[in-house]
Amino acid sequence: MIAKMNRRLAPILIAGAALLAASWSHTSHAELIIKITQGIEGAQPIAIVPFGVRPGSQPPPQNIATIISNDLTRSGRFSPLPAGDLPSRPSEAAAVNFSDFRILGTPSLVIGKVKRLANGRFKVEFRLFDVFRGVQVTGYELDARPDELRRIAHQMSDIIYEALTGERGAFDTRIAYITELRSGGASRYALNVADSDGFNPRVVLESKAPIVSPAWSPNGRQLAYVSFEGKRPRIFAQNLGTGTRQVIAAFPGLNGAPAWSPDGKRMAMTLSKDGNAEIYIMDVDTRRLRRLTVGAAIDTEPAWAPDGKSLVFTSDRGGTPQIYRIPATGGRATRLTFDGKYNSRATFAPDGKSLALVHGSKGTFRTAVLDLENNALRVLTKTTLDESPSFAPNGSMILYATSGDGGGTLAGVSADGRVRQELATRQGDVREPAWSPFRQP
Amino acid sequence: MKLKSFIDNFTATSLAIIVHVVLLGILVLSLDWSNPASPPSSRVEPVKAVVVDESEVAEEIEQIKRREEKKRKNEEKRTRALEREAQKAREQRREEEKRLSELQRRLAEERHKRDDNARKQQEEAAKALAEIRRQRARELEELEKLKRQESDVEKRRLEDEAALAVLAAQHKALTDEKRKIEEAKRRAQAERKRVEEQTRKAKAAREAEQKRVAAVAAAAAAKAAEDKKRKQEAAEREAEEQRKRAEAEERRMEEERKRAEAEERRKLEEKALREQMALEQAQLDAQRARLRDRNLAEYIGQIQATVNRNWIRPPGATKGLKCTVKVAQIPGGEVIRVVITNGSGNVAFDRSVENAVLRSSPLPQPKDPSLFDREIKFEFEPED
Repeated sequence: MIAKMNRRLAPILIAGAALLAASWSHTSHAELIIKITQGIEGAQPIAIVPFGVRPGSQPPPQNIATIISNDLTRSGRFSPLPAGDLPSRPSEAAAVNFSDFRILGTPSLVIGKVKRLANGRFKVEFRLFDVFRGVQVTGYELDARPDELRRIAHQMSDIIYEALTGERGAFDTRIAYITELRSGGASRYALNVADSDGFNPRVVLESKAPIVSPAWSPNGRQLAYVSFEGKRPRIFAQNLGTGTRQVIAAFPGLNGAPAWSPDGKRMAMTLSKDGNAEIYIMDVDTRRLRRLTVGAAIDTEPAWAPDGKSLVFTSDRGGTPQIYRIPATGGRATRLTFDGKYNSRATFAPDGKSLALVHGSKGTFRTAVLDLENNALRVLTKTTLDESPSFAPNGSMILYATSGDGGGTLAGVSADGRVRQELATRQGDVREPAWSPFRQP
Repeated sequence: MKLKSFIDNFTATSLAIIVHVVLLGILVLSLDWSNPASPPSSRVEPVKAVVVDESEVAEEIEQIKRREEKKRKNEEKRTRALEREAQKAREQRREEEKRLSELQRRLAEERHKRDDNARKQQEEAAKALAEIRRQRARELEELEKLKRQESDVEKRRLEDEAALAVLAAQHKALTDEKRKIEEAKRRAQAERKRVEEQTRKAKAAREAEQKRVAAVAAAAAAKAAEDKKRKQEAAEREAEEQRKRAEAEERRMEEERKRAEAEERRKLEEKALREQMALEQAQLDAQRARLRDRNLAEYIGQIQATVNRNWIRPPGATKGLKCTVKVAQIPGGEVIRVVITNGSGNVAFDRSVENAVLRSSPLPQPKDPSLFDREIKFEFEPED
């Protein structure tokens, strides 16, 4: 589906770089040294020109440039030029006049074109340029069905994002979330999977009974969740490709808060089969259980560290719900949160250096990040009833649910808290979002 | 008995006569045979005559004649030798003169040398002169000696003459032909007279020669004196010139000294001027440096403001990140190259840095164009 285009451009780039290096190497050291310490923290300007369509031909069903533009904007790292401000709209490399964009101070330029093929498929080509150097940074040609065009656009966003930030993009990923539709006193619950921007939602499971706590398997092919079908909570694992599911835990009492270990072989969960809500680790294949926590307090919401060696969980053993950390092999739990009277629903950032959690304070519940290196807690949101924060697999964003005017909505915040925005879904009361891992080839 | 012994010893007597005659011939410088024979001496006492063979006597007389002839020739030879000697003396003198002139020439050559040198040379010349005089004296002495020898010869001759007279008397007494004897005697007498004359002439010639030699010597001496005087005068002139030259040299030295003093004064003045100028230049330079520093600070400040304005840092934690870039600009401030020399490792951060510089192009220009540098190094390091 993806044909790499920059392969044939690479030698030219390399030659250019070599020439630059050669002309540069003999110059002496700069005498004048100027220190720059201020700057403005902000999104990098980028020009994304609407993709060209052959005149007279039917425009594609999706506006690729707009999807890319929204993706990059949502990341908080980029600030696409408003379409109306574009000085020119080239779709061919030869038509690019870099000085147009230099004047605007826009360092990056994306152009492209969409061509409808005879078989109904589309050929989409895009190029990313370094405006100041007047060189192409990268360029791809992708082939897609009409229903794949959005995903193609997200893949392009990933390529651009990675080219410009050095970090892997997480636009071509999915999110799972629960919706509750109330009609005539009855509620219908649904487990949904959508693109990372909230588009292309697809119902994975629908039920009159509540569905809670969706959790992605590390390979992204399964979702574990708690369903109250049959009036009692049980943990299921459902294959997203086939739709088949299996019961993972159906012990007496509470079966909740499933969490796949990073290697996918184990699942942490909260069980009250022994009388009190405690954290257990189940070997997924053998279903063998090992109890991790002991005590009279409620211990729940386990989450694995990326290295699989420890877990964090919520416990009220200290009188109020706080986050604790415990080795995966069991042992003594250590408290991690000391700010406020309420900290719950912790989840590890992909780099394992911080936790996203819900921080309660004075009747508000907000998404916060706990820096594990210095124990600093930083509240990222201004909303009042946040729940279920979830990191994007590249750690750049946190997805969470919050209560809007029509009930719960999906919102995203950049990991630094600088960019907050709601996602486009408007499907009733939305709760408990979970960001998928990276797609596996 | 006496006669008998005479006869007995006739041969010996003859020999004695021959010897005496030869001796006489050697002594006599010139013989004039053309002079008429003077009459025989009447003073000759008659002696006891003994008959001798007349032919013997004639032969003897002939022999005497031949011996006389030989003597005369010898005398002539001797005279010529003397003349040659005189000639040699003249030549010697000429040589001396030549030597003197050589000395003179050398003296002239060495005139430029020091006074004492000249004096030495003069002394040497004087010495040489003295030597010449001494030589001349030796020559005179030699002549005196010759004279003395001649007088000795004369004495011996006189003795021989007496013997000859005895012999003649004996001879007369012995011969019949008294006349012949007389004649012989007369001839002998004439001969003697001639010899005397010759001796006198020789003497006169000798005296003349002596006089001439003396005159020559005197002339040489006079010449030497003249030369000496000339040389002395020349030396004096030389000394005078030397003195004048020394004076001129002294004057020149004095002028030189004055000139050197003037030069030294001029140099000192120049040095003072230069120092003054250097001081002023240094003050001017310092002023310029201050202005340059001010302009540079302003220039850097303008660049900082521009780049800061254009630096859009990526959101998120950029604290602790640092990126150094080398920027090439062309006159007018247009950035033509940005190269990361020391990146932060954060792609987005480093890119924002590059873009900040590129967005700032053209960079502000310095007031002082000399502050413009084609290459500027930027260190991007957020403070917060």
